[in-house]
Amino acid sequence: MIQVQNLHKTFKVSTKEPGLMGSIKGLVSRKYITKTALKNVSLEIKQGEMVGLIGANGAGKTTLVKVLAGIIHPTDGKVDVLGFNPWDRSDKLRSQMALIMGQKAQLWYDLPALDSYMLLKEIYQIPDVLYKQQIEFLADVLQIKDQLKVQVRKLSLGERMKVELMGALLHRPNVVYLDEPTIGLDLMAQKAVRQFLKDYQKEFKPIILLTSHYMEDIKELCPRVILIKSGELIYDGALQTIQTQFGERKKLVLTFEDKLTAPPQIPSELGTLEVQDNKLSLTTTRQKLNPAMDFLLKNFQPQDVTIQDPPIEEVIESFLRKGRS
Amino acid sequence: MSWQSKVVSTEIRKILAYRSDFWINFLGQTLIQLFIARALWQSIFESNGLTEMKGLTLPQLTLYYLVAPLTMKILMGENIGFLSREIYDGGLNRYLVWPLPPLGYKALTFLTYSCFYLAQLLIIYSIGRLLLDDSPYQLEELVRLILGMGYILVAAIGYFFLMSLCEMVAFWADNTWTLGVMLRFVAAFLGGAFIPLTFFPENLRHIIEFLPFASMISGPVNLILGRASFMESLTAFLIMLAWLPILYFSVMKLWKKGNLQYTGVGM
Repeated sequence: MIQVQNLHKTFKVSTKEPGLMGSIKGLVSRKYITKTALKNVSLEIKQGEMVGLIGANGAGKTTLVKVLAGIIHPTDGKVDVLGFNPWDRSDKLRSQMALIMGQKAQLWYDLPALDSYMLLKEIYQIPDVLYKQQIEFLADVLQIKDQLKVQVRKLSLGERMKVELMGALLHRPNVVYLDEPTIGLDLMAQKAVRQFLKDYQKEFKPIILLTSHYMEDIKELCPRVILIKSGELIYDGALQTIQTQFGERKKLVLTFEDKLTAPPQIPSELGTLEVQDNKLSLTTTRQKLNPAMDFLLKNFQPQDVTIQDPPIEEVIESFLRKGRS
Repeated sequence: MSWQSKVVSTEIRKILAYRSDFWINFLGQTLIQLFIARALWQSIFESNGLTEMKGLTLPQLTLYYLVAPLTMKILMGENIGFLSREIYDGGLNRYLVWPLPPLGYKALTFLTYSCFYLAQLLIIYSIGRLLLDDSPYQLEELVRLILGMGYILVAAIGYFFLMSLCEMVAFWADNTWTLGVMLRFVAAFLGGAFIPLTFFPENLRHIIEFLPFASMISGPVNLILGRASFMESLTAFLIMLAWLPILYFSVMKLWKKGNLQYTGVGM
C-alpha cells in the first residue's frame, strides 16, 4: 500500500534575464524563485490498484513519482510505500519497486538488452528459474524476442520502450511507477504496451501508478485517476465519475425514421444544433439538459433518443482549467 | 555471481563495444603524448648538450613519460563527468532506484576502467622497457612492477574520492566539467605527471610530497621505474593511505548533502 500525507515539495530555481546582457549579468548575480511542485498532497493506493496520474505539464506529476520512488526528498509530509519511507532507500523496498521513465533510459545504450538484464538479475538477486520464466513470459507478451540481442541504441523507439519495460519488470515488482510509458510511440506500439500492462496487472497484481499525456492510456488502464493542478490534488476517484459528474456539456442525439430535409427551429439558448441525415444533435450544458429535452420531445417525434457525455479528454481539460471549483 | 562482478563484466563489455574507439584509446593517446614529450626533452637535451638531467637520461625520461601519463590515466578511471553528467541529466535516477549503494556502483565502474588501463600500462611498459632500456631484466624489477601496480590501484580509489568531490559539486552547480579539468591539471602538475618532481625546487617538493597527488602519481611511478627505494615508496604509500579516510568521509558527507539538492531532472 502507498500512503501519502500532506506532501509538500518546493524547488529553488534560478532565473536569468533573456539576451546576452542577461547572460553576462547572470555570471555575477542570479535571482532565484521558489517553485512549489507539490502542495499538501494526500492519497492512498491499495495493492493491486492501477491509478492514473493526470495533470498539465509542470503540474507536479513526475515530482510526485520521484518522491514516491525515493529519488528526491520532499520538503514536508509523510510517505509510506509498502511500510517503508522511500527516501530511506532501503534495499528491501527498492527490490520490490520499478520505475520506468519514458524519456530516460534505464538500460545501457551500447549493450544488447540481454546484457543489461543479466546485470539486473544480479542486482535484484532473481533466481535462475524465475529469470528464465520472466524473460520468456515478457519477451513473448511484448513480442520482442528477436530484439534482445541487438544493441539498445539500434532499436526503434517502440522496441526500446518494450525492452525498458521488460527490464523494469524482470524482478516482478510490487510497485511500478510508469512515467509516460507510451511517449513517442506509434499507435501499434502504444496498443501493445497498454495490452501488456493490462496482462501484467492481471497476472501479478502490483500497484501501478501511471502518468501519461495520452488519455487513451488512462482510459484503457486506470479505473481510478488522480488529477493534479499546480502541485495540488484536485480530484481522486473514478474516471467515469469525472465524465458523468463534471462533464459540463451533454449531447442529445435524436434519430428519426426519415432524413431531415430542413434544420428544425430550436431556440438558440438551448444549445448548438447539428443535423446529419436522419440524426439531430443538440449540444447543450448540463443545466439546460432538461428544458432542451422537454422542448425536443414536445416538438419532434424521434425514433430514438440518446444522451452522450463529452469526450473524457475534454472533460479533464475543462476540469484542470477550472480546478475543483 | 555477485552484482559487483556483474557490474565489472558489464563495464568491460561497454569498453569493448566499439572497436575503433578501443584501439584509439588503447594506443593512440599514449603514443601521441609520448611523441610530444620525447620531442620536447630531446630538444632540451640537445640544445644544452646534456646527457643527463637531475639524474635522468633521455631514454629514462622517455620511459618516465610512458609510465607517468598512463598512471594518470589509470587514476582518472572513467574520466571527468562520470558522476556530474549523471547528476546533470538525471541519469543518476537508475542507481537510486536499484537496491544497491549508488556510490559503490559508481566506484566499481570507475575502478573497472582503472583496471583496464592498468593492463594497458603493463603491456605498453613492457614494450617500452624492451625498446628503451637494454639492461638485463632483474627479479627486483618484476617485484617493483607488481608492487607498483597494486599501489596504483589503491591510488585509483583515492583519486576516485578526489574526483567525486569535484563531480558532486554538480548537485549545486549543474555543470562542473571545468572543475574536473582543473583537478586533472593540478593533480598532474603536483603529482609529477607533467614534469618529474625532481625538477621542482627542494622546499616546494617537501610540501608537495605530503599532498595526495604526489603520493598517488609519483609514488608508484618512481617505484616501478626504480627511482625510489622501497622505504621511500612505503612512506609515499602511507601518506596516500592517510588521505583515504579523510577523502572518504568528505565524499560521504557531500553525497548526503547533495542528495537533498538532487532534482532528478534532465533531458
